[in-house]
Amino acid sequence: MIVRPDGRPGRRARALAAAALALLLWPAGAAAAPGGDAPESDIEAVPLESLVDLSLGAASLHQERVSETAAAAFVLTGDDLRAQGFRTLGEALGAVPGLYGYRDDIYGMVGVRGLGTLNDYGTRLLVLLDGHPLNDSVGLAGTRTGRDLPVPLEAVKRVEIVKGPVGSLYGPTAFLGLVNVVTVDADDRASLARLGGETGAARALGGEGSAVAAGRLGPARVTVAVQGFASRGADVRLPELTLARPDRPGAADPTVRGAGGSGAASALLRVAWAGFTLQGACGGWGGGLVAAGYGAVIGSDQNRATTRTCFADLSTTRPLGAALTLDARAAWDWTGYRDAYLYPPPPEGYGLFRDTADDRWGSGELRLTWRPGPGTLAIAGATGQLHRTLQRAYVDGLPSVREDPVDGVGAGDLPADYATVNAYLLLDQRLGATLRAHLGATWYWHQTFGQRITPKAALVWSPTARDVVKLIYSQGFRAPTAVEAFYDDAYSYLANPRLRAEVVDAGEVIWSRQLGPDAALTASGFASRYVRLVQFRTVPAPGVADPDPADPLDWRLQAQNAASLWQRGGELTLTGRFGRWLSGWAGLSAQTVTAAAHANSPALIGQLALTSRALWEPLALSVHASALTRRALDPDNLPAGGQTHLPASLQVGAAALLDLPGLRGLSVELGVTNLTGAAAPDPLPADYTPVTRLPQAPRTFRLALRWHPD
Amino acid sequence: MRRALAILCLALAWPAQGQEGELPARSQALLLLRLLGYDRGLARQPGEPVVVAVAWRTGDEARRDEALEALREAAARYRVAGRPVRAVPVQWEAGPFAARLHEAGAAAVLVVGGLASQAEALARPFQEAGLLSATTSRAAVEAGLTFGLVWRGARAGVLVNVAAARAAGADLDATLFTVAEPVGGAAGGPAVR
Repeated sequence: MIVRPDGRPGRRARALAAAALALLLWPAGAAAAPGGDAPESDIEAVPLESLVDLSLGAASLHQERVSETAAAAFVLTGDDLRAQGFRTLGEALGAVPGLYGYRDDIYGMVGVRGLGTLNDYGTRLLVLLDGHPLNDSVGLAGTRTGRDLPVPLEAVKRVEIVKGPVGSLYGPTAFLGLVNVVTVDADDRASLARLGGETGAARALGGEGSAVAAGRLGPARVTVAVQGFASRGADVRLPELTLARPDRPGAADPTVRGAGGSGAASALLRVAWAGFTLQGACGGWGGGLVAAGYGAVIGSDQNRATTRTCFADLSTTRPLGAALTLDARAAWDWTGYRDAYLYPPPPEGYGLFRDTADDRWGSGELRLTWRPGPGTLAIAGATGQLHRTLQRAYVDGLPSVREDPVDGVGAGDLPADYATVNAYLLLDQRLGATLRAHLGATWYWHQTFGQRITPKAALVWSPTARDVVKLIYSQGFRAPTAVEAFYDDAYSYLANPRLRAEVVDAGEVIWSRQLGPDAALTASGFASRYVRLVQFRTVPAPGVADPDPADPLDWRLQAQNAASLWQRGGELTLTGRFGRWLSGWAGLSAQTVTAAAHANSPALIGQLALTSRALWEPLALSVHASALTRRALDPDNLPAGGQTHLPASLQVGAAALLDLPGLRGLSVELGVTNLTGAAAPDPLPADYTPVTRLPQAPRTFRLALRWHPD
Repeated sequence: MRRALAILCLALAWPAQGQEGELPARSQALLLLRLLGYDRGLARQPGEPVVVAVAWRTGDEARRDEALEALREAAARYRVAGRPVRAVPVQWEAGPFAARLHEAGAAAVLVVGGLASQAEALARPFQEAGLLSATTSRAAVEAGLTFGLVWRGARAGVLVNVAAARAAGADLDATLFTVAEPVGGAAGGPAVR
């Protein structure tokens, strides 16, 4: 904790501020060998390949090479996404070393290094689209890693991933890390159209189409991308649906028809002209809710959820002299969530129970970038946001419990408006020929949850042309979401306005070595202490003195600041790009989480992704696999047999991409997901009692035609 | 309303940051020095500093300073062909351009900002003076400059106009083309061994 209870900076904050000041006052020409000392190294000793390695801009707000950035970073290129046949950002992130995907009945979510909190709803992983944050503050309106990402993957040039907290730049949400999706621009002169379909076991059937164009239109640089997707889903068996709840009989047939049935659409437009860039995107997803959470009627196609995202962003970059640059940005965002759960009609039930959540916010950002001399970079900026949120829980035509405490249903309207400010400072100073220091801090103020200072300090040392060693300390924090703090539907959830921000202190040592011109090995050790982690717990319903353990109506879900926990581990990543013969990566992450009952935390995460054009240059063959060791089930949602863990799981996918000879620009893509047909279930939180796990979608084949005339 | 329009006009008239999507200056500098290391001709001229000129035109002062700073930072760390590196600015509009490059003793030129649009006019004088040139514009490389320092997806990429390199008298190591993409003239001949 950096800010003392009285709101004044503590000793550690003062020490960091002093260090930052010292760095700022470091002679700007220090890196330039003052006194005319001769350089020590021959440029010929530096592998050209290491100078063209992957680049990212999200970790420090300026473009830099992955090997040099002061963060644990990984970059997926657009070629990687296409070659591996990934169709959602979540699928792609699941192949990144140290990350793993999991889901509940509505959302796909991403865990980082063994921490994948149930009911997370994507609120701990910041997702940026070309630098624009997509996450909302409600915490229920989508994770942006599934079909709700408002841009097709065909328009993605690269995906920048930072593992570990980046609160020192972005404030909350960048708690476990960040993902920046970078799309094509006019320089890429991209144009393509893609039409595909999927089918597989258990009657799965779906189709999708997308188109992307990027280029110059007179003086303007324009990018346009659209996509549409629809799937009727597959049939899955959820045997636990046969178990009766006190408020609901069990199902005679545990097979759910059309699980995963959904539709999505999105559009993105970006126009850059006269130094200004205007970008806007909208996306929507809707799908059925098969696990019949909250005791809803099993198998009803009226159990549905939809999410919507729209934003418009105007930005500009202007020089203010030789060494100073101003970035300015103004944006408006909206996210919306709707669901409906069917219950028996009154008097036994409510009929159709609806939940909605909306977050509308305007934001503005000013950023100054100062390069006073060789090897020195200072970035200072501030972002302000005004949020207007509204949650509703209601039944059409019935009063809420606020209007009628006796016969009312649902909590009615739950508005919450608030402002936030995130001011940040980043200093990057070269200290001699091989060492770089990086300091950063944010001051974040939330109108409801108070203020805090979040620091970062890192050293990047390049002892040889092939080795880089990074020493990183960073903090992250996350203010409670509106759902966690305020949502109360008078049926399943209890509000908890006393929630406090959760905090993580993270330390990491990373060593990267270039293994010849084509391969690199990265090894890291990390330790993170999470304090007041917010988790949903099952608590007795208000006014129920002696709750029946078997009756869900006697219980509520309430977000609480759980006990602190440690996460310690190490990670190995090997990347290789041997021309057309073989390219890809392999990763292994081993970690422990010091909370015996912490759900969904695998001790080992392994990934492999390989692509080869060795057989025939127009044909790219790819395979990817991800493996997880066993994970604990939600302690508040254990099955009757006493099982506490899910077994280890392995998922394999494969793809073939063929550039049709003689048909310029025309390609055929063939892919298969869940090649082995593994059940590989994910744990479900107590929302879904008595269903404790959700299996993966069955083996599915995908076929698509891609036309890219450029 | 009029005030808002005036502010908008002022903002539009305010010089914008240059072309979007360029490689960072530091990457440009390191790549250019590394590419010069592939010219075996430089190693045959020991002793003198390798002078890299930053060619710019009016309006691109910020780009000039950024490139100079990055080159000087790189020069503080690395030698090329065993020789130290020196970076100097040379303005396009100020007098006879080729003569001033010659006076500066330039071995290579980094063309920054909008000057790349003059690639066709620059290419021949550069080649006649035996200068290797670099730019962030693919079109400028296709028009006759030697090296392109460009984005290729998420990675930096290197373009080499082999014919231009040959015309400038370069003796490039063929291993360069395990990474670099040849454009323009066909590979081969005395420029690449």
